[in-house]
Amino acid sequence: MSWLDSRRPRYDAADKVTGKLLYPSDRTMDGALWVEVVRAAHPHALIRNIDTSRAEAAAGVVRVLTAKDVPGLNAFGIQVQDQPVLCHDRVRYQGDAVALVGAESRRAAREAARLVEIDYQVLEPLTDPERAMAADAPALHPGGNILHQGHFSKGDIEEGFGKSAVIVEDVYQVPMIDHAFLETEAGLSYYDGEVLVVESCGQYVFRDQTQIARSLGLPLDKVRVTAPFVGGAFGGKDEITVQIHLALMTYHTKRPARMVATRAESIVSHTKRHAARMYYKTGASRSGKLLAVQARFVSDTGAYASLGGPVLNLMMEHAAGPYLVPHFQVDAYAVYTNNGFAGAFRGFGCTQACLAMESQMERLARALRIDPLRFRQMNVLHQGDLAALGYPMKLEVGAEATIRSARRSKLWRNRRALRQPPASYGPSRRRYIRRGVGAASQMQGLGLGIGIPDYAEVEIELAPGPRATIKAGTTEIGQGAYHAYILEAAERLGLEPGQIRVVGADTGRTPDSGTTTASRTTYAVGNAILLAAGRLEQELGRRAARRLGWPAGAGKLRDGGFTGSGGWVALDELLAGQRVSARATFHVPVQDVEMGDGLPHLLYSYGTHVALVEVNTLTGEIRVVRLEAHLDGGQVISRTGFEGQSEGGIAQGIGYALFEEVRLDRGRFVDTNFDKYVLPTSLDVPVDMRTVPVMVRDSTGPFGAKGISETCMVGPTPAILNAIEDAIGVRFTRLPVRAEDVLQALREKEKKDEG
Amino acid sequence: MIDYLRLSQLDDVLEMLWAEGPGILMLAGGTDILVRPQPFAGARILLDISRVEQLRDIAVDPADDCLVIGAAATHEEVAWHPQVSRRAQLLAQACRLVGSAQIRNLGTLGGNLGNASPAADSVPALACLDAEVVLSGRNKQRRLPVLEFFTGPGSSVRQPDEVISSLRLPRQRGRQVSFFLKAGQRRGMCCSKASVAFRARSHSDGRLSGVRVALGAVAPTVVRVPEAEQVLEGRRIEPRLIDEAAAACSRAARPIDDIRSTAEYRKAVVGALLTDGLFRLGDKMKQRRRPRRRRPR
Repeated sequence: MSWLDSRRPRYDAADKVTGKLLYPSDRTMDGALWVEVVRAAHPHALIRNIDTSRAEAAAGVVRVLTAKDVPGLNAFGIQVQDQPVLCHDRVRYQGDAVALVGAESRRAAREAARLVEIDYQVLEPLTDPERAMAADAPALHPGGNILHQGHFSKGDIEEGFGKSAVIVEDVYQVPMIDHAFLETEAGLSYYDGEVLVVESCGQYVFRDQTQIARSLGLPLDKVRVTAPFVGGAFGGKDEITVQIHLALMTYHTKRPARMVATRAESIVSHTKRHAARMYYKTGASRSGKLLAVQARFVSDTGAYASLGGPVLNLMMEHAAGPYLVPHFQVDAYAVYTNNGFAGAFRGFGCTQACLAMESQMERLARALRIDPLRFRQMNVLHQGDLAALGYPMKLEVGAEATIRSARRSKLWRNRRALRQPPASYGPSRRRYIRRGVGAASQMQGLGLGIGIPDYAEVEIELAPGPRATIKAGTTEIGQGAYHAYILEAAERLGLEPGQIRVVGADTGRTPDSGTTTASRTTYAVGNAILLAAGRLEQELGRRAARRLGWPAGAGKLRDGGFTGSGGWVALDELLAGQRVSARATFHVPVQDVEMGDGLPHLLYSYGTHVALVEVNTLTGEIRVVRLEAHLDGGQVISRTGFEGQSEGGIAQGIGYALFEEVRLDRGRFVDTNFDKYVLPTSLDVPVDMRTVPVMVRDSTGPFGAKGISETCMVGPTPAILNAIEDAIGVRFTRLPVRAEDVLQALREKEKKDEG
Repeated sequence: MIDYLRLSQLDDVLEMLWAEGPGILMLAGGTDILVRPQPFAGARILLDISRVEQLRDIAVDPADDCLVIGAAATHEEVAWHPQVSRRAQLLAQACRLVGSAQIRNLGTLGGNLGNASPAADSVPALACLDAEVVLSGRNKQRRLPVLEFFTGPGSSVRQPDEVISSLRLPRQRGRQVSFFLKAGQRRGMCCSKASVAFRARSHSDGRLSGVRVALGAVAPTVVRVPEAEQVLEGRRIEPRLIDEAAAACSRAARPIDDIRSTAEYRKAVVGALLTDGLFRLGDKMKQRRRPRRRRPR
């Protein structure tokens, strides 16, 4: 039987729901110190002096550390090391760390943290990225305030607009939002002999190991980092959070150390989704051919680089969506400000660009009076076409298949009837409750893209039982990746999933399988599993020749045994009490042409979302009634995991559309808990969610699989905005769309309609 | 530091309040207290009254036919109690919209009053049901109409030696119609940006009497809107009257801008909520008055 596309329950589900499985915040050790971070009192200030004497004298305090205690490079950052481990001369955002207190209890650490006296010279915070770009703005970093910019064009944009019968132009604004992972940043550090171990919450233990070793001035082999199970991240733990601070405290005190961030500290300190202003102008011919897309992005990258550059690159790469466009121009800037700091977040730049582009597509379709999905289909990219940036789409393109699937759905076919509120609403209510249906299509680059090393090495060990162990360096972060590895391995090795286990994310025990990001793990690690399985088969062939006298030659792992030149033999018999293991590395294939860090991709996943929303025109309240996701992730590995990703993505997309916004007041975080930072609840997510797998098998994927973990959250937001326009005839260009905004817009519309 | 004390007898609670009143912070469900930045500021004793059985009863008093709800009954207990559903559907409905399931399981009706938030969801419902608050102290007891209990956001007439012991809801004559609607930042687990409670007696000809309209979260305390009530008193629900009553609600609102919404929106939405509720109710009443057509056999 095949394990692919199965609804088998996740192997880690029972341990997670019963609390047996320990997360980083659960980990502790006898004698562990609590580490408290003293963070900046101002979003922008110079440090004149730091006095730790009172804190050091406080009860229970073991050590207070400042910048001078950082033995190696006092800076970190995935791409550019521009963020101090501990600030010594300047703070650039409210979450900047200035000192660390290690104490016998959490309370003692907290109280002592308040006694660290920092003398600041407060500076005016830079809060508007477009102002921060100006030549006369004070520079936050030596290279100025523009972290990264990109300019690409294809064809002749003016000619494109000249030929267009319809042109839509507008500015879209999206806010900074928080990942809202359930487990805040946490970890435990200690010495194991001479090796400094950090059990942490990161998304890439090998890079964390490098960053820790660099800041501590230690060789890599003296630092071990683990993070097998983490309580959610969505990109928010891709950058360093607690790791270096923990390591530093253990390094100086030789004692175990522990950190668990409060929610307020978490919100203030970690990266966010980039807020952005997006200027769009798009044109199409009378017959519905997309002719020109011009976009200008200004993204607020906050105080430090993190992945602000690559995020901007992906915004540019996805600026024209999954469409064929002859004339294209994009100009984009990622700008430093004192507004927190931004980085990776599920969707990674596509989220922002897609919101704008899909709004533009909807408006063009409406202006042309063409069925919006048909309009998308008329312009969709196919394999072999040139993407907006001018490189060819070499692999299978599933965009049209997802649009077709959406067009076939009842929700889309019956959308005219569905615009009528149900009869149960009563005759009066049906006059002021409005419903609308909207759609959005998107593509999402998969993997890290060209120019950034992107590989996955895994090891598979076969042992008597038979049992198999997969050693992979990625993190099980809630997404179900280890479960997918087990299904992929079961399918390939001819074993039952129950016979396979995963050892994950430990620089001391697992190979480097790359980052747990970019929708890549099921694809990249899955491919490495297939390669390693091939090597195992070669080894087993040799073993069969040696032990059983079979003619030399390869064979296949099948049905708990090995099929080769001499027939089938049970694995246990062939292993004869011994273990066999094999390692293999898969390199994620890339484009030939390199246009920037991670720009462009070779692989994409695709999706089309359709939303049915209801607007109460009296109160302005919006309710998402139904949401459908037609997703091309190639061959589905775990159907349960596929649907779980999709439904989680829908919930996050609803949050982005209707509720979420990290509010800052002159660089200070206004809401630092989930009482005021509004996330959708189960009542805000429709019961009626449907995820339709559109399996356009990828020729490079394991069994034809691709990742969908980001695609699934990119589309729901623009689909909801388009549905709102369908319902009430109002186009929103700014997120989130709150009841207050709806009511005001309806009033303005009424005035306009009357006048 | 604060002393924590849990008592199970009402008399002991009253004795304790008499002796230590001003230094006592009473805790029933804790859902408002424990989430404050400084939960116990200014208090010496945290007195847990959640286990006082006498404060948890829900029953009809045979003496005056009032429904008596113990102040330490949780929102969830009130929401699903058969007597409440039968006699005070409006209160059940409001209690079901409080916070989340977890908050409803812990938070109490008395606590919702004692916290004196103008956004408390049970209060507009209680106001429309003509409820009385019973305040008990050692050797004393007083009753007052629920809205007279509040003096402003977070403040009430409760003396330090008193506990809210129960709420008394008089029996309503005739067929009752009611609704409670709230506007929040989302659909679940949210504070009201504005709320509207409505109750009236509905007569067989469709006319309403004894109309009550109360608004939450749009003034320093929950307020009744006599002007809106008068518009509808003795009348059938019709669009013109709905508009007038809604306008009266918006006029009566004295809201503020805060982190959850704007004054402008709150002023508009109280009227909108009443309008929405009355249209729904009107349709429902019309449907009921229309004789049901029998299917031909």
